[in-house]
Amino acid sequence: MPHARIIERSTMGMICLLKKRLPRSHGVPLVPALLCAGLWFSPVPVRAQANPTRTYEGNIGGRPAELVTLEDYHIGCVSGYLLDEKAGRLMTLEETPQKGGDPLVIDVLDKDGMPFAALSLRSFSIDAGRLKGEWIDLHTRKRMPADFRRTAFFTPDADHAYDAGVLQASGEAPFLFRIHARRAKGEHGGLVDRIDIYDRSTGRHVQTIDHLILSFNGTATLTFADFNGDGHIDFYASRLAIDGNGERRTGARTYYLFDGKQFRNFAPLDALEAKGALAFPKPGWVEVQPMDGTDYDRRVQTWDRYRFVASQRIKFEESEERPF
Amino acid sequence: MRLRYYIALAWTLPGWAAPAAASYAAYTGTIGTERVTLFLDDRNAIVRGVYFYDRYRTPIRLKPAATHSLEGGIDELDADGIPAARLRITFDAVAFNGSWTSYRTGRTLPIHLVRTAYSSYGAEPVPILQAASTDRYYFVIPSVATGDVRAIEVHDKSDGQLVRTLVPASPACDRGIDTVVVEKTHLRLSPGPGCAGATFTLEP
Repeated sequence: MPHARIIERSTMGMICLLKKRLPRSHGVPLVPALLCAGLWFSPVPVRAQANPTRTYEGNIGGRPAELVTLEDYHIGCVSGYLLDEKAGRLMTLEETPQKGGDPLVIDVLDKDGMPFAALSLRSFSIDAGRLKGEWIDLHTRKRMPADFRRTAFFTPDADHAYDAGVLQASGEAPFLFRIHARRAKGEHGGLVDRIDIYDRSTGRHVQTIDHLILSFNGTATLTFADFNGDGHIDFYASRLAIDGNGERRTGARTYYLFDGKQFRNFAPLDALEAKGALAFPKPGWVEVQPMDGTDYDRRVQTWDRYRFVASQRIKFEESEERPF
Repeated sequence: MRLRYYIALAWTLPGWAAPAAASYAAYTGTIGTERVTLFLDDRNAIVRGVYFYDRYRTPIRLKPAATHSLEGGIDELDADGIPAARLRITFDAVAFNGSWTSYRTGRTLPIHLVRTAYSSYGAEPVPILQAASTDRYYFVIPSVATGDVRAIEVHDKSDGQLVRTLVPASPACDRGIDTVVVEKTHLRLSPGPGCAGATFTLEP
């Protein structure tokens, strides 16, 4: 299945019917590689986690369930996703305004963005440890009870620590991705040290990528697209740089390509990223605008174009100047 | 893509407010072949709305939606507050076009609406249709030109005629389509900071 476009990052929450199939964190220790963080020290401050993220476990109609919500407290909205465990189906919950204490009726969207069900949570409070309500089929109006208990809270507030896993908004990708993130009280910017990957059709755990030092960005920590044009979904994440004083900064992106069996870091793209921001005009093509490639007098920028000549091999094609 | 284009365009036009603005807009037009009247309240980046079929004049509440995500559509709610239909609308300065789709049946009807009144920050009078109604009456705030509610019009659902105008002793809070609360035999306007509440007895 081609995944030619980058799956848009959601600023909403995530609800997942997923319990047994996605094991919890494995407790990987912090690697000494933290010391190496300065190698890609970046002037970019660590990006603020877009929205408070909460995960829940529970059930809908007796089916094991996991709930993750993102809260947009600027305008008072909640949204999310729903993953049906048996179907391996990750569904988006529509961004929905919510006033504290009012019932939350949040639409469940199909892959075309059309609501087909709603999750009605009575007396919804974003801070509640338990959420109860109903799943409502909008076509048949059939209802099933829903019950969730909160399991984790990822907050931008440095007064709170976290150490837990959260699913990623991987769209229609055939795999499910859970990252493990942690942050001690008083720190700014969460650290992602592990990615667990599951086959969506079977729920089977297929890969762990660990000893990572990535910047946490909630359910949008990983960004998905088919970079090399082989029809398989790939992803990238941003590294986390930690200096000697413990200051955290978001570093350059690191890329992982699917080789048919596993996701592997693809160093050539990371190397290009070090030259300048990458763009993927279409699957299989990469453009980089080198940081020193801007001529302000002539108002032109140099762009280097590369092409994947094989799924794991990239080739320089041409440079061109573009006005800006 | 067409929908996305129109919405992007709409943000650039004075006819539809930027997310931070407070605005009201009233529309008339059709869903399928039925005449409808629609009212939208956009404030603090949240859109609330209500409409009725002119034949019945029973307000139907729209599910609040984030202004920036209206491109996906807005729900019509049933009496229990559960989504019953989806309105997908393309915007331009003064008109809406789109579709209405029933979740229950899948039936889709075209929507054509023309704006009849618009107000940003209460600059112009716009009648505000109220979401609450009784079996016999629906309610309209005739103007919020000053930001306060100075009158409530009571209209008969059967013919739309103005039956009575209720005048609170002092201006009430403007709460958009939810200014009027119907409680069995009473109609209530909730008090708030700087504005008084009021209660009126509903005649049978």
